[in-house]
Amino acid sequence: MLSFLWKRLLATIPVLLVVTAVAFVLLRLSGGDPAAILAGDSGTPETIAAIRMRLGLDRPLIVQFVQWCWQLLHGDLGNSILSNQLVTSMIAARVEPTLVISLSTILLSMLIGVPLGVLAAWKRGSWIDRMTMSVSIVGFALPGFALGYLWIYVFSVKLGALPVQGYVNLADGLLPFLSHIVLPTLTLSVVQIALIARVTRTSLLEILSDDFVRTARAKGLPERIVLFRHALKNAAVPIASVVGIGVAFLIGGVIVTESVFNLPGLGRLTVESVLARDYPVIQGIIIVFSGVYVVINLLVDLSYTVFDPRIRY
Amino acid sequence: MTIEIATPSPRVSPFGRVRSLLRRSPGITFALIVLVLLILGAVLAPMLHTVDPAQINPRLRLRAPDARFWLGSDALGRDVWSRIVFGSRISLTVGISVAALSLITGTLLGLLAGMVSWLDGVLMRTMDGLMAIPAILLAIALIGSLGANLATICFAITLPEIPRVARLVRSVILTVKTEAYVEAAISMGTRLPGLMWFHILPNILAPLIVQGTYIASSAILIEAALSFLGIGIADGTPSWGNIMADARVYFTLAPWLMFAPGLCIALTVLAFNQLGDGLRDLLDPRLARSVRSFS
Repeated sequence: MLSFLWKRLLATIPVLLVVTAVAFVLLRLSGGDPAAILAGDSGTPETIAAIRMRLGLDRPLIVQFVQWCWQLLHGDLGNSILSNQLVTSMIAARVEPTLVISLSTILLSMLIGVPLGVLAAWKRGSWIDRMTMSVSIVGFALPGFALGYLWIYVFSVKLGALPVQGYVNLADGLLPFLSHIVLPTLTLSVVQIALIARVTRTSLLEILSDDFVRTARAKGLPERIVLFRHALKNAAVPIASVVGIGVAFLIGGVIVTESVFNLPGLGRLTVESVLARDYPVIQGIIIVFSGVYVVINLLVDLSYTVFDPRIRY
Repeated sequence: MTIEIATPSPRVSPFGRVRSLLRRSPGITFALIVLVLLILGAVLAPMLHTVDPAQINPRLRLRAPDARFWLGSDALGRDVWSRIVFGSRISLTVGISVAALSLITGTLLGLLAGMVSWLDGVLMRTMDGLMAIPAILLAIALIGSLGANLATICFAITLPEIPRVARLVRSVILTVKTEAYVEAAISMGTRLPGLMWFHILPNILAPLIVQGTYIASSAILIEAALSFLGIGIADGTPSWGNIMADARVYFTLAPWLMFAPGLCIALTVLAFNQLGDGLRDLLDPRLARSVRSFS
């Protein structure tokens, strides 16, 4: 187990190296002089020269890259071109809404997707099964932003039940907080539910034809226990792995959804900094999001041993 | 003694074969209908009750759908039906060219990784790293650096898709490489190019075609999202995403501006996904395991 952990951790190093290399190259791709770009429109020749000195832009590219990585290892993502704020503190200030809607999405889609998949597999061929599969096929095709506006139209414009846009801190009251995250969560959850329900159904169908399920039924266990204790437990590994895959969708969805609902999160920060060509911020966001993705998939891999003790590394 | 000569079974006409295929797979039928209509629409755009999609008409702004404006008019009085019909060109161009580009590049990289062992590690670790960056994020960042036009947008959406293709091709090669007929070919002195062309390529063609349809669908979604965020195609050229971006401010006044292009995106993406699912089941049921519709 420990040796596996080591190997798995070591394997993330090249992945993170490639991510940082891509983020590093991005600034150079734009063609201009990085120092002039970093100095912004108001940059005087003196400030440009100062930036060039500070970043060591006169040195070979590989030296610059190593230097940049060294800064990253010390948690230094540089400063914003626009506001000169630390990129790390800018990201920290915007994390909350993103984290909140991501967690609520994962929670909601597990709560709906898993039972839906179980039900569809149990009543294979029934209307529930067909409905679940159709919804999951359509769910993959819907663009998140159109879906977001559909919810706004139904729940905010027509029913007047929920606020259209914006974000309220938890400190300002539980009800306003919840009412503002309902629609973004619903928007993000559709793809996740589709993903989870489909995988749950497929793996459960396989398990339900196994001998031990027949034995469990033959000895008279209630169907509820057969389904949720015997069968679902064995489907935990594929479900966990699909949650890991879903994180990539979630990060992409967050960027678009935050724009639809005007949530001041990392997704909005991404779009704002691309439109403003604030490269250090973009680089920082890429590294943070990819880091999260890598860590979550590491945790998912490790969770296999918990969910299925037969798996030993 | 009479000799019975087996009469050849009546030959099925190609037309009949296609018909029975379509009957077996309603998904492919649906997909073909939608895609043929779309392609016709994109090609024949000027002849379909359209006006110049950029023509503004401030006196007729935000009209509800009627006989003149089939899908209403937007905030500048532009005809939304015309914008949507012309916008299909962007979506189809992006979907098809991203699929083609990533299939070609990914196949080459996958072949290299699968056949040249010292390249394998470097290439595949690079692919892993690229896959760790969420596709939309990478595309947004690339466009931020390269500027937005049709070519850079296609490139920015292609780059995140390449690793998926390369991995698929490499995994097929690694299994095919140990097959007896490949060993036989090698022992008979077949060179690497011949080996790839005659033995490897036929094996990866089916999964590649399936993967290509999924890439096209995700490319269309990502392009629409980029345009919607204001990062994609400039407003002068109509695309489904930027029609929706324009509709945002007037959403409560004119919700149809948002839903008509949204429905077009959903139908097109659904058609490509259904085509992929149908082809996957048709070409090889075992493929269901190596190509996943959500990968």
